[in-house]
Amino acid sequence: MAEPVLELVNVTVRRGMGVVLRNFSLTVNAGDCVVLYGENGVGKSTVIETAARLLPLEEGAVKHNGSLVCDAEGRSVNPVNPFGLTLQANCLVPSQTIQQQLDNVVAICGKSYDFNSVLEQYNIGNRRNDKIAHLSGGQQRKVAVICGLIPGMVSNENRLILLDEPDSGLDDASVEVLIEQIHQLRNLGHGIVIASHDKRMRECATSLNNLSDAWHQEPNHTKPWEVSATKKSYPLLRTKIGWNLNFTTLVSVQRNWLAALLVMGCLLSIADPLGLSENQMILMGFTLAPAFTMGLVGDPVFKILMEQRSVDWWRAQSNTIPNSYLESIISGIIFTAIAMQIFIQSTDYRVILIGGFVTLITSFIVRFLQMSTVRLPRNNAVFIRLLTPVLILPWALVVDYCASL
Amino acid sequence: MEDRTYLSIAYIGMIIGIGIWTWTVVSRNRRLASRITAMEHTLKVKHDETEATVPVNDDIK
Amino acid sequence: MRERKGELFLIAGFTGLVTTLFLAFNWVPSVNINAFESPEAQRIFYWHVPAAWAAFISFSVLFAGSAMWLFKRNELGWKLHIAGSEAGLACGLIAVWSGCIWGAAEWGTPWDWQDYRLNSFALLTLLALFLVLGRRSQPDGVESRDTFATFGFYGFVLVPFTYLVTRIWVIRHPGPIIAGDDASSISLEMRLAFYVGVISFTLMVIGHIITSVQITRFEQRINRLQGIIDGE
Repeated sequence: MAEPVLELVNVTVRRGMGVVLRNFSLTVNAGDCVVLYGENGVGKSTVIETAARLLPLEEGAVKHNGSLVCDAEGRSVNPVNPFGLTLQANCLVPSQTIQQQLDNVVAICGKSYDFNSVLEQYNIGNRRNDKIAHLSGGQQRKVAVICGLIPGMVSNENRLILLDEPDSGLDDASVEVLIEQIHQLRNLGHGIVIASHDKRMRECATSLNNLSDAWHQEPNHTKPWEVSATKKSYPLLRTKIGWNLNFTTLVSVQRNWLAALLVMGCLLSIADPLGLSENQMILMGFTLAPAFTMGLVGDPVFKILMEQRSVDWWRAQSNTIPNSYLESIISGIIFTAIAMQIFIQSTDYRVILIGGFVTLITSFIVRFLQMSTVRLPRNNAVFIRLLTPVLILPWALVVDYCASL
Repeated sequence: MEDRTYLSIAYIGMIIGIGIWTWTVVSRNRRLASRITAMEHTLKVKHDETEATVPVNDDIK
Repeated sequence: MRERKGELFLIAGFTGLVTTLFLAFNWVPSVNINAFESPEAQRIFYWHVPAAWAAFISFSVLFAGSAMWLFKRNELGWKLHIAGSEAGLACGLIAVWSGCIWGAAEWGTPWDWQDYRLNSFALLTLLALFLVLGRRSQPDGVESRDTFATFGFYGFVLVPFTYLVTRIWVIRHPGPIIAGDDASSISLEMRLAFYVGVISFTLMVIGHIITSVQITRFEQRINRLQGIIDGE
């Protein structure tokens, strides 16, 4: 007998200081569709986010396809299989196009798939090359819902699909399409959990659950979804996605590069490099300051992903999220080389390479600090950058070392 | 600058800082205490002084 | 009376600090003019070092409280985390501020980026600032407490490090004067004024920690009462 696609085993979860789920258990087998319903605050979204590994557990464990993915001891293991996830926030990257957004989700699944027909069903096929930021709220919601369904649409194996208020913001026609697709995916053998107030969603359910009791029902039978995706491997996926995000949005140019240019401009405005030729330490400091500054600005990809909780979608799927490490080291090398020419009028490949690593390591540490606060309710309000001065002393030591070269 | 000037600036800054810090702590303490007294009087609830470890299954109610 | 215990410590500490100030200005003799560039500014020492000492006590309380919360989910531990971070911030800022003034007078520069102790102490103070501001920006909850307690727990590794570098690296910042070797010695009056300062800052920190724990308890009590009112 196949393992359940989802098991919540006696989980206890707090939100704030209140206990929302207490010794709650839920088993979703292949072909099940559990619809969670109830009043606001009863814990429907908490169940979805707990199943998606986004919330810490006070007690219990969560399993996907029989494998532990997280427990109350703090263990967090990448799910063996990708799963579909649509949260109340859309978790989209506004500066990407619909095509790019869906390509990333398909890549996570290790497949290649033309989802044009799906987009047409939701009446946004003509917008596939439009940026998500240019879509209406309802259209963005459609994209978010499709992202949640794709892991089921591209696989014949039993997959988990988690949908939190998927009908929210959708027009009636789109809700009907969604319901039909849920039927088809359920008949294919996927396990689906939906949190919804909308009574229309209940017709998909094999089980209705108000977090206290559960009722089983026999939904309509439909022909199962036809899988037409092909397998494809995507090596270094997160680095590539990060690179593509940087390249298509130019976010690193408008944040990191601009900061480096401003620093170089300020230094040039107050000091004549020729007049400082005696002081190697200061000149080397000027040379490495742009690289350091770029790192202090932080990982631009992380900044993009913080919009619309896209970082949470990635955290659910994997313990690593897209990064711009490659871009960091290249930018650091470029700007150190430029600064070296301006301030020292010479080229030393060792210093240039060190500049690249200064940017990379600084950016990595800033990203690490930001990731450590991503679970907080208001993570944009916490003053995490107050801790970045810790990097000044190591930078000064690097400058001192380079001055001695 | 004169040595004594440095000294004076340092000490004045510290006295002011410590004074403000102490004042905010004490006044906040007193303000909260009077607020609790008023709320308990309104609700006719006994003052709870227990300091307990919060068990996992405890609702903060 | 129990509610005023913290305030009594604070008042006693503050009185002691004013006494230390008076002694530093008017009683203790000046240091040897050959030993210091700025003999008069040296009198900052009678607050500067006790403030750093008090900051270390506070950071220790922060560490203990963070550990108690992280490993035992103890409410008192969280209260100690709050108290330790706030007291550590205040005492750390005093130590850094007085140190910068003294440095400007003695060294001609308020800071030395190559002094590990100065920088690690400043980092501890910055950590305390982050914890205080960050905690106030977030609603109270397990996620917030876990996150900040983790920073408070692991940030404490800087404390023994800072203490050790006092012994190992004596660059611009002077080495231990009170508890050092034979090369470190001060007169009786200086020692007395210094001890008054240490005791005063210790009383201040204890008073603040007691009061802060009480404040947090009051705030939680108010939240519970608000819950009762809302539920009616």
